[in-house]
Amino acid sequence: MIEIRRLSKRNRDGTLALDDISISVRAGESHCLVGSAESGRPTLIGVCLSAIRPTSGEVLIAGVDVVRRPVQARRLVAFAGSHASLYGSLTIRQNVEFFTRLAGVHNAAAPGVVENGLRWAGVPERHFDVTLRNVGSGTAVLAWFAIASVRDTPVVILADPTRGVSPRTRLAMQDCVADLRAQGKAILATTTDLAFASAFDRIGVFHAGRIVAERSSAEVMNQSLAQFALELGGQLPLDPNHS
Amino acid sequence: MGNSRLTRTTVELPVILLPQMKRVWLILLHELASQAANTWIRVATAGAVLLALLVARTGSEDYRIRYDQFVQLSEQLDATRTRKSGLSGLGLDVGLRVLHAPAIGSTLVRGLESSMPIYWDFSPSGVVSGPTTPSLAQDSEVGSVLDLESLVRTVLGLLALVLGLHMVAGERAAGTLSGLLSQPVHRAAIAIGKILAGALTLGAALVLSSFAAVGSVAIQFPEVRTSNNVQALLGFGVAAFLYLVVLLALGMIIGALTRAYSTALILGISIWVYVAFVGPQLVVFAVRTVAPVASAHQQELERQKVFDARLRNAQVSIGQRFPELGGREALALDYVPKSNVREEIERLWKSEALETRRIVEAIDERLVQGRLRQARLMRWFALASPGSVLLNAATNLADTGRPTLERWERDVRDQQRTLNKLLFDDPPRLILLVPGGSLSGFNRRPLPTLKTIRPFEMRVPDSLRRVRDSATELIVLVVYLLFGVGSAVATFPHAELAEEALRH
Repeated sequence: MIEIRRLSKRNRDGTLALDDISISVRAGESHCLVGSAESGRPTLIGVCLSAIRPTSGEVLIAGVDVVRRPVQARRLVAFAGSHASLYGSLTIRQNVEFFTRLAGVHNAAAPGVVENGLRWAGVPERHFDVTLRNVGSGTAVLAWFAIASVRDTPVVILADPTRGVSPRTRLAMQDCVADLRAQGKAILATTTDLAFASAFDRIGVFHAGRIVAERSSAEVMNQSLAQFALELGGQLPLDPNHS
Repeated sequence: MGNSRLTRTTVELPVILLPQMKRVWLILLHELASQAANTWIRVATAGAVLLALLVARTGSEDYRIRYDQFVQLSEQLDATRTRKSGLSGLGLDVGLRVLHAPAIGSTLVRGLESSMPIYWDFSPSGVVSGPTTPSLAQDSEVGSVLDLESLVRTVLGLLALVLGLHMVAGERAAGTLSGLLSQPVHRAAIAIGKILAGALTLGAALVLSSFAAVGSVAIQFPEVRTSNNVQALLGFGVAAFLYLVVLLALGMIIGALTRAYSTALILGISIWVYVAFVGPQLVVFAVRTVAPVASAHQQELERQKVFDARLRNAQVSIGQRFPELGGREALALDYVPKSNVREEIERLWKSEALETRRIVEAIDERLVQGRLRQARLMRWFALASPGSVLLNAATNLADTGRPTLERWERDVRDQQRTLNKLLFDDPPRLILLVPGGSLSGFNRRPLPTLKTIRPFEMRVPDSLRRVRDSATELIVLVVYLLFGVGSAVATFPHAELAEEALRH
């Protein structure tokens, strides 16, 4: 579903933001990359969403090249970003309605569709009609998961969703990831939160634009996550609130 | 092969475009709702409406001052014209005076109204301009007076630019742009949706401000409601709307090309200062430097000096040739010289008069050509700034611009030429200076009265003519709009899901 082949991105100053990255995530698989913001993590997400043009290599979403057919590729991807990328002046429900309708979900306005998505994501019902700026950032990020649920795309990309959220919300997000994977979706996530990463099938350590280590979840479970990260990835921030 | 490709393209295009149009509509509605709920936009619009009421009040008071003076001068002129005595053609006659009627459009767009003479007099040497119109504000050459046009150019212009900045740089700084750009929507669709929403918001602010100003003036001066003026106001509305969308697009381009919101804001405000204030001032300064022209008053003084010197020379030289005219009571007008003497004097006088006319007309022509060149340059230089283009379009439509001034001056010059033929170059009375310094003269024919002179008629331009006068400006604003909107759409993809946005 997600095929990243020999992807590189050179910055204007000549440094490599991405250095020969290759990742493959099939349907029903989840893959999480752990690394700091400086590791090139946001650049990778930017390329996958056809917002940043790579220097070389390619990214295929269900066989669609993100550079050649960006809109068609984004149609196959549900993106969950931070709470700040939703509209603070709109309610949670309005945000979900807007983004799902924008993505072309025609029945988004039908009764129950958005509500079901919000319930599935674990957004408390009392928050449905509260403006986003008046709810916690965790609840706001769950709205992105609701959008992903309503859109029902084969691929889901998560960009550091647990930043600044409570452990309880993180658990809700982990449930969402497990559920999405069970639905047969391919999930690619980036995070600095090692605990969140444990919910994924495969975990890669991203450092200086490269994947310096990669383990299956089962392998990682046999050792301390932090130990794994420090051992293989080098300087990783362990505080999930720090990017 | 060719046919199948054509068929595929024809089928694919609506399939691609139709959903994008629906998304444009969604973004448009979303932006409109967000802008309607934005406190700053509401405050700016309310401020613009209040200012519109204020400028309408000032404009009305200003117009009333000029109109009252016009009425007073008209009454004085009517009284003068009832006199029975004839016109000697020897000097300036107040009875021939042409009054400048103030344009009702000046209540809303002051333009050059305050720098136009109140009246023009006609003398043997040529047109003599009266003092300029009294005004609450003295210098309106570059629209420094706050009127409806300058309100649009400055206050609503700032709103348009900041709105454009907010829609790209503001959203990027807030982080919402990354959410929007992650959706399966063509960036052009997002940009177009935003531009349309911004244009509608600005249109609403413009309509509210204009209605406040026009309504306030129309209550005091019902003549504003004539179809001619309403059409010109609609033309102004179109020009103002085009200008505001240009600034909106400019704000979006700046927002897309700069990374930090603070940089975008500083750059945006600098451009606004240029477009709204410095640009129009710069145009006038540059043109006056490149093509300086003496003031009409200076030119008239120079012409009068030349004329007086030549007149005196003619009086003396002809008088010296006919000493027999001396030795009698000065200006014994019933005196009739012998026919051969009279013919000779008239022949000499005519030859001198024609030569003098050629010289003074050359002085006038120099001024006219200089001013025409300046006006042409002014028009071309103005194209470099949308603010100047709006100023010119608005003044032309309000009948207070350069074409109006030129039309008045042209018609007044035509009247002078008519009077030259009827009176000044064929004077009913001749005065000579005979040796010994005494004046001597005689009537050549009965003196004409004011009734025999065709009264001056100023052609009031209809709305079509005013639109034609501002056609270049309207076309240039459309070009600015197409270029601005095209660039805003083209640069929008550069407002990428940048790394900074993803770090939010």
